[in-house]
Amino acid sequence: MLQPSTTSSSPPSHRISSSASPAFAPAPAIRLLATKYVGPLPPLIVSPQESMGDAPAVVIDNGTGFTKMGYAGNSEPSFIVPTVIGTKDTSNNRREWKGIEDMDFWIGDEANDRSGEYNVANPIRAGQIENWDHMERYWQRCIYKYLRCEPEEHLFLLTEPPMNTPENRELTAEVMFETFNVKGLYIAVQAVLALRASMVVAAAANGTSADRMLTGTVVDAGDGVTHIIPVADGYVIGSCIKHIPIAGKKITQFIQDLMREREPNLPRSDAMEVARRIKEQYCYCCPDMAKEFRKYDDDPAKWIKQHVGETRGQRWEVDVAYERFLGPEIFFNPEISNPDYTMSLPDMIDKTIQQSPIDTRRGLYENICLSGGSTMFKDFGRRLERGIKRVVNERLRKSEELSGHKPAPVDVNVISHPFQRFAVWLGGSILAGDDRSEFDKVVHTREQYEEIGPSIVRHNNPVFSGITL
Amino acid sequence: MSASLDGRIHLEPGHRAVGESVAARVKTAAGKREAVKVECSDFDGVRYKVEMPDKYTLCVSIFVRNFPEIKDLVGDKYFQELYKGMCSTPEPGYSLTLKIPLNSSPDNNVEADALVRQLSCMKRDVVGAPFCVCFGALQESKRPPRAHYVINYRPTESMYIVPSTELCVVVYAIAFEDPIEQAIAKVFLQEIESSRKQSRDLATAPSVTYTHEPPHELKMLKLDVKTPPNFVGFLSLAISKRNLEGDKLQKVITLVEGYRSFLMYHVQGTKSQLHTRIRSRCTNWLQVLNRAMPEKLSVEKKTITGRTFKRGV
Ligand SMILES: Nc1ncnc2c1ncn2[C@@H]1O[C@H](COP(=O)(O)OP(=O)(O)O)[C@@H](O)[C@H]1O
Ligand SMILES: [Mg+2]
Repeated sequence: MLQPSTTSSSPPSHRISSSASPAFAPAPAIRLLATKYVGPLPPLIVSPQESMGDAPAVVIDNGTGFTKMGYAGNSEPSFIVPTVIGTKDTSNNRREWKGIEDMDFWIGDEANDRSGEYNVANPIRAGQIENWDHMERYWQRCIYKYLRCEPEEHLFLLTEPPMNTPENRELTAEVMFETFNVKGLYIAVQAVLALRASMVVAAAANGTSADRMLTGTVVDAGDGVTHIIPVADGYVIGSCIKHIPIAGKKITQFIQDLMREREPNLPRSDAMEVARRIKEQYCYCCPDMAKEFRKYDDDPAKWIKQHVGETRGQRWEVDVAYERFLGPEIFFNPEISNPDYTMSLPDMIDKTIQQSPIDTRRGLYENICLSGGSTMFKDFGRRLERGIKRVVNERLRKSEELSGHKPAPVDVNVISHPFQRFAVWLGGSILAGDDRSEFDKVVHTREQYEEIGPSIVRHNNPVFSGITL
Repeated sequence: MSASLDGRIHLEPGHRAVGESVAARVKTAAGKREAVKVECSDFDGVRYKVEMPDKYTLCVSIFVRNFPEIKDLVGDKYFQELYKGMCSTPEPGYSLTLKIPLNSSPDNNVEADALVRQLSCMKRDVVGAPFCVCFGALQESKRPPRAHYVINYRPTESMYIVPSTELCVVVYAIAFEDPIEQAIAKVFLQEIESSRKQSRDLATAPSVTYTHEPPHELKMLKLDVKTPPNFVGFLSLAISKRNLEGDKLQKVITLVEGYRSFLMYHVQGTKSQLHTRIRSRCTNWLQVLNRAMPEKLSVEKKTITGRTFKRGV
């Protein structure tokens, strides 16, 4: 696992700023890496615009649960806000028409805070944009209220889930070019960006430069679904992508159910929000469920946490007990929350790789990378790696029994890094920032759009692939 | 329009990303401070950088396209006064760099908040500096040092200020490249002019005119007023002393300095509204078509031999 290297003497070779002085190297803000000021960190990204010429590209990763947005070249997004919009139903109060209906809505936390007065909806479901009216308005606020930029002046990098339809891609291009007149647009595959981010971060930590060819398995666990996506040489092996219905929201729900039965103090009104906070603050992955139960029973004072909250001026306190490890456990033993679903995440990953073309499998096992907020649990990567190793070794043992030959061992690596929460966004920031020349080759310009139309984004130009453009 | 609509109708004076990065450093104890390097854009080609060059210093830099011109208009000392003790040599690629020593930064929240607000509003305060000078003079019924101010804040667009002791006339030469936006902007500007004239509620608002010819104040000055390509028109606001009464000065500067962005925001908002209507019309039309289809198909058909059959769906 990548550790914050406070004493990094050998600079990472991933394009380092020449101004990095030995005494005190200015560092990017890496909130997750550093809980306090840790001094010089290896700069992961060097901003492309020391010259005053080009405006930085805008990178927006619209997830089902959260939107990550900021400017390319930075090492973290400027904003992570819920992908929700609060609108008013204008059809039944026409008399109050005041001419501002088109602006009368909120997004993100500001929408959630007004859920009484506004209808709060989610424009994205399972990774796909469902409501284009809402999405267009959501982007408007992202651009004007949060990022504060003139879309004409900036290239935009948006992201798409695995197996997005060409129609959706065209609709996105239509809104971006027709409404916002963006200077250029590229819609990147989330998994490819996450893989790129993981490889650059890992290389920076080792002081080497990242391989440009992208091969690996991306495990993207966000809010709604968990995707397992094999990528070979920058191409998503579409036919092998798998989903499991367990992700952030399921875990939050499970924790809420566990606590509600036991903790009468848990506020009913915003129980999901409270459960989410508890999940993010206290949960971790344990090596062995049975042993973990025993640990809690032997020394409850050490393991059971007290969580204090406030709802409408009322202070309340609850115990956070077994759910600390039972929450994330449903990735590994899904039957504890749903008896009908028994496929664990390590099994599913192994199955995905086994179904991929034989010459890619080794690379896919060697580089399993994590993306999305629900991979952030402490020791998640370690637990996952052990789980996959167990499945793989079992198969190797069986094959040896049958054939009598000792098969070559398979290297299983799960790569954790401190940026998993926004790995997709970071990959986008790297592509449109550090790898700007590559980005310039794939981005669709406004001129192209005006000449040809939305079909220019029908097929994505691949990035980071073996094929030269 | 009620005041509670502010958050949706108006753009904020400050940049949230700058404000948050600064707040996280200024309001945090020394031992818990994280390193930072954030670069972001703002409207009118402005760029910011927030960085900690060392453990005890926070630097906020801003790039403004026409900074030399602004500095010339308001004088060298203006920014040293405005950002007392913070001005430092500008970093390469930036116009103005402020250095904030973190070990002597304010320890009470009110002062810290004020500092955060000041730093997040640098664009307004730098680009709007000539407004501040002129409106300040107007409040005291004085004339500012110059007869007029030209702020070429965008590559092809300018703002003009023509001050007098009674009024400050602010003129924008506005252009929109996109023909649809041009059309919407024109309607918008015409509406602003006519609603100012018609509505009694707005009697105390600054008078507004929208013209294609340079307004009379500019003509008087015999300025070389270039009309930009894709020109939409001149918008003039006459700001009187009354408009600046009480604590309104900052608010007026925010609105006047940010007018072009505000217009753009609403023009694109209008486009979204149009798109919503078009989408809903199309859906309606398809639904009608859909309902029409099966009827046609279920019409009894006869084979050539005269037998009838029903088409399955
Ligand atoms: N530190 C954390 N530990 C565990 N879960 C987290 C953490 N931070 C965020 N999450 C969860 O991650 C999910 C959001 O992940 P994200 O990748 O942004 O989703 P999406 O891209 O689908 O919107 C939420 O369910 C959130 O509760
Ligand atoms: Mg996601």
